[in-house]
Amino acid sequence: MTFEPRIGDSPDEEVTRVLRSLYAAPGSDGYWLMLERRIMAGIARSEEEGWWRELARWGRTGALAASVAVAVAAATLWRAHERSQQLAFTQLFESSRSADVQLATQAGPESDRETTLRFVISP
Amino acid sequence: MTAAPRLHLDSAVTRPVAEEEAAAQERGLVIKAQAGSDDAFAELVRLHQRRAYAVARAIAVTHEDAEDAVQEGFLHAYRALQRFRPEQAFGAWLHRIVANAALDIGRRRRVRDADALSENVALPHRDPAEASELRQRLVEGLRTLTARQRSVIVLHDVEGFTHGEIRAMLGIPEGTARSDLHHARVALRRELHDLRSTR
Repeated sequence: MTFEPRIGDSPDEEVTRVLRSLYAAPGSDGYWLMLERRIMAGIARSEEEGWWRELARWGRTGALAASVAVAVAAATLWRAHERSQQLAFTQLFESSRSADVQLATQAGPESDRETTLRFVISP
Repeated sequence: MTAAPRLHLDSAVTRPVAEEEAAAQERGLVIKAQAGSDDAFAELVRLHQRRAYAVARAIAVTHEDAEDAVQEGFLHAYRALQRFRPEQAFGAWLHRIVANAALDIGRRRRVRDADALSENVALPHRDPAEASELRQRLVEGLRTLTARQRSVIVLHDVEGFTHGEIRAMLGIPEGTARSDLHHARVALRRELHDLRSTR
């Protein structure tokens, strides 16, 4: 039995050489310096954008918190207003009831007077 | 003791020491970059951009896409730097990120412009005047390969990555990488067969 190497199991030197030339990275140092600068500039830009995004996020959170605070304040004011109105109504109601009592009390002497008058003018 | 084995021993010992020193220096840069030093990260970019480009170029269709992949890869690496453990190999980690960026760009490009893709496959970005027949045939041969087969043969035969490294970069089983390499070599040999027989 003889050993037959499978075609394609080892690299073809000529193919590899041409592939190497096709896929060769740029050789000039200037190119790599520029690429490095572009990479670092991209990172700086992204950081800046991230900072603005963060600020916007905090801004949104702040706006939400402010809206909640305004809503709570409005509700509190409304409740306070309602309470004061209720209190005013209660006071008014209470005072009208006491006025009735007063009127009822005041009605007493007038009836006495009427009684007296009726007694005087009666035959 | 003769001089020759001693020299051999010296060089064998010196190389790992130099590698260890380089690894320690790189670890130091990573730690500084993690602490917020942009200069340290720029130094890491300087050290790794050529190899990162080679990885990206093996996967991307054009030089421009490879450049974009390198830039995106470094940006992703910068953002993920806090999750990176400095005792790991920064290069291997970065290559996986760059490979992913290149694969993503390839997918986006395929979706965006499928027709233009076939026109650009594997064309050299420099030296367009040099167009030997062998070179042209090889470019034609590369067009017959799948994107993955092309990436595997370039990463392995041109850039010298191992099957394990290719597996990690492309996210494919090692057996698939081996099989892709075999098929790619056979296809390119077949493409050049006629040309060679007429020489």
